[in-house]
Amino acid sequence: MTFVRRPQRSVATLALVPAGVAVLALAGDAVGAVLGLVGAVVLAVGVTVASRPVVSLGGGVLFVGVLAAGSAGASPAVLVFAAAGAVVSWTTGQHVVGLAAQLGREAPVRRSVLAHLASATVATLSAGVVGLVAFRLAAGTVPGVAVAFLLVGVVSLLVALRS
Amino acid sequence: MSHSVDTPDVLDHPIALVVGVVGVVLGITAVAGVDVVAPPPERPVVTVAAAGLVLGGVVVAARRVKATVDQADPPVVEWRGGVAVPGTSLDGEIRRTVHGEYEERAAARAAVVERLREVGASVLAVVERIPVERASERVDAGEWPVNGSLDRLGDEETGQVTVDRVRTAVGSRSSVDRLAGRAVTALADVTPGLTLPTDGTDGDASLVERGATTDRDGSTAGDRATGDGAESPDGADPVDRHTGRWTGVVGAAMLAVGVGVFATLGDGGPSLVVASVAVVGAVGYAVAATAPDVSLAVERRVDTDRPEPGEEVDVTVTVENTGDSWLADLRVVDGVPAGLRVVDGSPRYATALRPGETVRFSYVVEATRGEHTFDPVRTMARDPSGATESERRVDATGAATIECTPDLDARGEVPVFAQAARRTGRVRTDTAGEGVEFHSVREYQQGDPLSRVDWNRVATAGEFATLQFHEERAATVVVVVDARRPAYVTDSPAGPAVPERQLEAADRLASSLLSAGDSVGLAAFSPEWCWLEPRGGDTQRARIQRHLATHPAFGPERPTDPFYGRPPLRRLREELPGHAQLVVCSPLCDDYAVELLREFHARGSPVTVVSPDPTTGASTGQRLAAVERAIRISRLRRSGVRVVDWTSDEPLRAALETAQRRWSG
Repeated sequence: MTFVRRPQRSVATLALVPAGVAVLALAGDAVGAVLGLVGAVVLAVGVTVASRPVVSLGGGVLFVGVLAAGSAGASPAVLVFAAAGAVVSWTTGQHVVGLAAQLGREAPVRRSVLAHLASATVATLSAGVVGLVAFRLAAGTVPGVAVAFLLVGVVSLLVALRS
Repeated sequence: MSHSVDTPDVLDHPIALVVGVVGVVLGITAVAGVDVVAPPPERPVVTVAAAGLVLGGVVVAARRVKATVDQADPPVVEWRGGVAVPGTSLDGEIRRTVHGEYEERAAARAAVVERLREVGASVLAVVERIPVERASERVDAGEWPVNGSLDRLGDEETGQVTVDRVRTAVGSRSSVDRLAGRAVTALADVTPGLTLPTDGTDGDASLVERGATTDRDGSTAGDRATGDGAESPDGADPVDRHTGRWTGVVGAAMLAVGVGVFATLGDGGPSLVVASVAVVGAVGYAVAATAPDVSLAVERRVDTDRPEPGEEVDVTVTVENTGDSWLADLRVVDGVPAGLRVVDGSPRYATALRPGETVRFSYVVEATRGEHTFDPVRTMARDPSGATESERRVDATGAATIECTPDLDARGEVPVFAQAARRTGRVRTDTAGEGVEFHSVREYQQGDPLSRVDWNRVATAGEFATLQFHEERAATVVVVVDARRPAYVTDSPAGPAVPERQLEAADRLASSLLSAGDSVGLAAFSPEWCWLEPRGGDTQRARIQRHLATHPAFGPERPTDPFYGRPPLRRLREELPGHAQLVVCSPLCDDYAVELLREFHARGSPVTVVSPDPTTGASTGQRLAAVERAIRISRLRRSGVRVVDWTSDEPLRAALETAQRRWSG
């Protein structure tokens, strides 16, 4: 019996679902859609051959697609989905690769992957929805610059809190 | 490799802290409409800030390129432990010529060349019948035909690494592997008595390669069946670690905000700033992660704890979360005994586990002789984001051992082969007397049995004469099992191991020698002293079989202590009866084996070696190992030692018959 450090196809597919959502969300913008699609394909290859760098490359290209669509003026709600999809797909892809390295192809891992997928989705989407609601409530009253300051401040504090 | 998690301290990152506090304060004041930032930032100021964010984001995200993910690396418990695949070390060097840093690649290349030179010299020495020193001088002087490819092996060409990395990624062979493979094939062609399968056709290589490889994260695979002599240290301490898998994501968040500000200033609108909140959410989720509190109860059941050799045993593992916290990501690897291999299912499982919840998984192992003790279960628990990992070892309740002793009565029926016995055991002497084969005729003496009177001569000449035959004496044979560390080798970490084949050979040889009436003893080249005085009869057969099944010298795990000749060898020589011959079961995978056997032979104990072949020729390293082994066999044969080369795909009887033809021819 062999021990293969690559994921089963069905498990790898789970990691690609959010990438699919992101690509659909990006469909409105030509550049974003192309980058998104390329990123999703690279990510799929990375997960299949169990390579963390390739997964990150795919997730990165997908994310650049999100940036492109955002610069071109996509709607905030759509963009929240696209950004969340890119991040969740990337982290789930990493999770699947890590599982394949530790446990190999034969081990049953589906429930672990689903749990990771679900918790990452909740974390990104809930934050995104808070952002959306705040944006709707504050539209026109809060300067964008203030929001940017707040975000930078929060991110920096988060970094500082990391050990 | 492992380190404990330090308590987080905001003061570790003073710059980020200051930027964070200032950013939040400015943001809140801006929202509150207090013009601290007043007059409202001019466009250029914001542009510079956003550009800084984008730049910083790129820098932070780029850390991902060099970052490695640190995670537990459980050994491949599916395979037998304590065995090595011959040639793995060369394969490792060849891999390092592609995957290492620059200096590492150069060192690995040098090591490959050196190794090939060494083996080239010993091949030349055997072929030309010259001392090894002379042969290596000639190899260094460039005489050896292999040198052409060795020179090209020495230096790395520009850009070659990139090409090779792509090649190996798609499953093709690197240029060093090709050149080394060609050199080994050239060596194999001139090596006497060696036929290798054609180069690069065997699919098994990939299996072995994955087994002993360094995986893509850069963490070394702590596999059970690793290179020649590699140890896999098992830290029993619990380990908590940061995996570092979120490295660089902060950069993505910064990029999103920075690009979003540009878009807001332009005509793109603020949607990217809003979307970046989702990314910040992901970062927060990873940062807020704390290592889970792991408390587990594990129970293991086997369907039989006293199986026959070769029987399949179902192992069922039940894991219960006895703690209070939800385990979002729990990975379990059962401690399969090192001497057993998994033939179906997986001893690994990953799941999420609520408090009080139970999961069960099962797998099948194949029993081999010996007493096998399960290791503790390894568990790896992560927080939901995977940012931290807690590695633990949990002792399971329930079945702790599998004991597999061959059924002695049943094994008594094993058919024996007379040919082998006559060759290796029973000795036809030149002394005249009782026997089968005619020797001479002498004058009748009173008391000679009537059956040996030459009645033809009585009839023709009327005188009594007695026929004499070659007297056949029972030989005294000591069967020796090579159970030193280097003898624990296998042709594939997933397949049956060679130590098992050595024991099988020892068992069958002893049985057949005993059936032929010889006195048979048992000994081991092992740090554990093992000695059975040569005797005859069925009781001795049972004794030998029990020793082979249960004596610690033949345990399923290879000994950690080396077997340095002197004291145990002297003791063995003292115990050996003067007229005893040795039948040694050894894979001949190190040069010391050759010295050892030659010395016994030279000191007057004739040696026959039955050598299970652990080489397959599946990879370049394994092919080189096959060449080296063929050279050892040649050297032994030249010293008068008989060698039975037993390949894995033929029955022992066939190997013995082939060898016998060789000896009589």
